[in-house]
Formats: sequence, C-alpha cells, structure tokens
Amino acid sequence: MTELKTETITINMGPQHPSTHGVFRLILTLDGETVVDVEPVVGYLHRNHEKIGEKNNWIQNTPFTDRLDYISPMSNEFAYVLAVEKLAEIEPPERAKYIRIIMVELNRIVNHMIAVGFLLNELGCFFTPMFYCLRWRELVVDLYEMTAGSRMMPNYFWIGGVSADLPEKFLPECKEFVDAVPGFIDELERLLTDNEILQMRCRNVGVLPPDVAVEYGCTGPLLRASGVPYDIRKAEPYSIYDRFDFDIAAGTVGDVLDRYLVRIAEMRQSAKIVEQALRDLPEGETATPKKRKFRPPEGDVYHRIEAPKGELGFYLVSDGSENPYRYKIRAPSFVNLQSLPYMCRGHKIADVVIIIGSIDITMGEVDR
Amino acid sequence: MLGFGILKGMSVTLRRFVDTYVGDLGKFPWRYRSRPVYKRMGITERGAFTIQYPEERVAMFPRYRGPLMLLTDPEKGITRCIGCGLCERTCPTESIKVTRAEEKVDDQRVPETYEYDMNTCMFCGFCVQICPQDALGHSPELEMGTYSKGDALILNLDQMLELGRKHAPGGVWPLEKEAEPS
Repeated sequence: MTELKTETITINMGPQHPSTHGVFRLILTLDGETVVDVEPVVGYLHRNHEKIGEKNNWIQNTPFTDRLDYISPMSNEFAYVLAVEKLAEIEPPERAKYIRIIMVELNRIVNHMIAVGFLLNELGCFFTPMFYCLRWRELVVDLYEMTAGSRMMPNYFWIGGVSADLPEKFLPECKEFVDAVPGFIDELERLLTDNEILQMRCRNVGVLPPDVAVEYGCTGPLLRASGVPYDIRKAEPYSIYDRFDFDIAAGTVGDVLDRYLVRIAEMRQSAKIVEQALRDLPEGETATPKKRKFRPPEGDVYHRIEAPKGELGFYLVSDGSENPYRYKIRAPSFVNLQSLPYMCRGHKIADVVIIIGSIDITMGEVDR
Repeated sequence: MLGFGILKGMSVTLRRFVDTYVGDLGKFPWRYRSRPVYKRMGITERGAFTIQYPEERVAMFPRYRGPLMLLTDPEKGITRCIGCGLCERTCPTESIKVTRAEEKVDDQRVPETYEYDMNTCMFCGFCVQICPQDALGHSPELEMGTYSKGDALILNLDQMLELGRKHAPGGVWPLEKEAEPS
C-alpha cells in the first residue's frame, strides 16, 4: 500500500469564539486533529489604556483600572493604589487596610469560581456548574454594590484608604457568606472532582513542567499547579498579608486537573483569610483626607501583588506633576498566555479549548 | 467503580432540582407577582435565585451609583450647587459642563447651565465625592435605555433638578433607605 500524502492545514479559531473568553484569535496548524502549532493573535480589545493613564491625573486612574480584569476589579485597584502609595509614601489607616484585604480576597473567591465554572463549560458540562458558581458571585457583587455602589466597577479604593466605610449590613452578611462558602466548595467538589469524564479530559492535558513555567514567566495558579509554591503574598508580603495565617496550594503534575484543584484549594484559603480579617477588623478612620490635587514626588516605582490570575504589577514614573509620566502594567493574563503554544502542541484540537480555560485569561487585561 | 463520581455529582444536581420546586411551593399560588420585591435572596436560602425582571424588581442599595442628579436644599428651595465647576474638572471622561450664573439667588451662587452627558459617563462617582457643597448625588435609576442615541441621554439643569426632587426629597446622598427602581 502506498503512503498517503498528507499535509497540515491552518485554521482560525476566533476572534468570535465562545470559549476564548473575549475577542481572541488563534491560528492553529493541524495535522489531522492533532495540533502542530498555535499562534495567538491578540490586540482586538486594545483601547489605549496606558496612554489614557498618562492623560489622567493620579486619582482619576483608579476607575480605569477596574476595566483591566473586569472579573476581579478590586485586585486591580489594589495594585494601582498600593503602587501610588509606595511612590508618595502614604500610609492608609489600619481599618482601611483590613477592608482592602476583605475585598480583595472575596474577589479571589469570585474569580476562581468563574474560572472553574467556565472550565467546565468548555469541557462540555454546559452551564450547570457555571450557574451554581454565578449564584455565589452574585452574593459577592451584592456586597460590593452595598459598599461601593457598583457591582463590577466599584472604584472603591482611594489613594490613602477606601472611599467609604463599610455599611451596617456588610459585616453580618459577609460573615454569613464566609461561613457558608466552604460548604458550597464541598458541594462543588462533590459535583465535579471525582467525575470520571472530567478526570479523563483533564489529566495529563496541557502539562507545563515547573522549569518551563518559570522560563515563560508564568505566575499565579498556573505556576503553582506546576509544583512551584510561589505566591507573592508569602514571598514578598505586601500590605498586611504577613498577619494572616494561610497556606499556599500547589499541584504536582501541572496539568489542567491540577490547575482546577489549586483554584479550589485557593478559594478555601481566601475564605480563611477573610474570616481572620473580619475577626481582627479594627475600628477607626477609613481614609486619609482626600486632596483635590495630588502630586507625588519625582521618581519611579514598581509594585506587584498576587492578583487572582497571577502577578499584577504597576510601573509608574512620576515627574512631579499631576499626571503619571509613564503608566505601565504587567498583566498576569498576558504573560501566562505565552505558555499556550507550548501546552497545546501535540494535543487534540478539543483540548486547546480547555487549556485556554485552565489558564484563566481575561481579554480586557491581555490587550489593555 | 467507574461512574461512581458521575452518580455522586448527579446527587448534587438532583438536590438542586428538588430545591427549586420546593422553593416554588413556598410562593404558591404565584411563582412571581407584578410588584417590586424588596428583599434580595439570602445566602443560606435554597431554590431558584433568579428574579423575573420586569415584573419583579430588586430595590437598589442606598449607595448605588446611577445617573447624576442635582440635590435641592429643602430649606431654601434652590439647588445647593454653586457652579464652581470642580465636578467638571475632576471628571475623567469630561462628561460634565457647568457654567455659573452672574446673579446670586438667596445670597448664593447658582449654576446657569449644567450639562451632563450620560453617553460618556462611566459612573465612577468622583464628581459626587469631590463636590464641596454635597450638591450632587446618584439617582437610583436603572433603566436608561432610549429610542435615540445622542441628545436623549444628555441631561440639562432642569432635568437633573427634577431627578433630585424625585429621588432625594431630603436633599442628601447617600439616600436614607433602599430605593425602589422606577
């Protein structure tokens, strides 16, 4: 029998594809159903974020950072505000620090719930786990709306504090949420973790060895799932993270299943942190007096935090005026996305979708 | 045993399925009513979480950031705004334009024109936070849809005062209680 002559084919996935988490295009080179190469094309959602940041003054930038990673707005604000505070050497009041930790950790729970929910969506389990998770997200965005006035774009953190004190109803409701959320995570695990189909689809798919993950500069759950227990909250504690007791979840293999398990474990840890923060929450002021004109001293600063998706850093250059001279963002989704071609090579085309889901990207942050 | 995990998962979905109908029985004989609901669903409650939107409406939190309104001082009967233009300067998207009137009213400066462009507003709330007279507030309006784009979403002084009188008769923001969306 003569050899069949075969050749690779190139197809487009996206930009409008339901599982690419936004407008994201992939150029796939396929050999039959096996992926030979992947070329991500980004930039469809580019909206000049960094240049707008230079036009705005220091205070005006906070609502714009909400639009970066719109699943976890509080974390973006936290990173920006901490960077400016480091530059201008402002110390927020104690109560504000604790409120910030509560908000950011609630945000991490929400982000991982969305990540897990969409991963299951992409595995073909349409919307059942997603909606179980979205119900709990709804409770958190209600807490945000109650406190800050907006569900997704809270604009709650100020340079030197938070914009308003917690409302009366916040503390009991937040306590109730934190007490109830581990029960929900148990239920989610009962629903998903032992599921044979999920295990078959996820195990040994998209393996990212630890050395490769470090070379690509991956951070966040993606890196930790590869077995590198690196978390900026522990490695370089910022704000008041050194006062809380929590563990770093880490995987062993670095496949899609490990990333799922790391996210589940991180949700439990975040709930633990919020519980401790609620317990220790001091009374007092929530903000230093707000200035109408804010001019930090000349200089530059880089501050990074452990956002739900990885290391989120802001590099700010000040020339002593009202506006930043340079406003640069190190977005975790963008850097983590670089490892996509490595992880996809050799897998089937259906696995590309779940590998994207397991990286947990938000296009608002990738393209900026 | 292969398939045991799937069965375990199905027990969860089955429980949710039953919860939904048990929750519905509590609302017998109507699943939903044509009136606003004032209570959001609690954290530990089970059952269907969704709201039948146009018939059922959830009350907005007092701090909810909707379109801007100008607050009226209930004692003087005129707006508290003195037309200083700080809101205009602090707005990141340049959605506010305000001019100050020449004459004083009741020994107070007043704005002559106020133009608020809801097309570009991003509801960040900086104008409300910075206002030295606390003359601005967020109305609990939810449905901002119009049949034409452009002018329909640009509010002038009278329209903003009207919104303020409607939603904040006391002339303060944040509102005292949860507001029912109109």
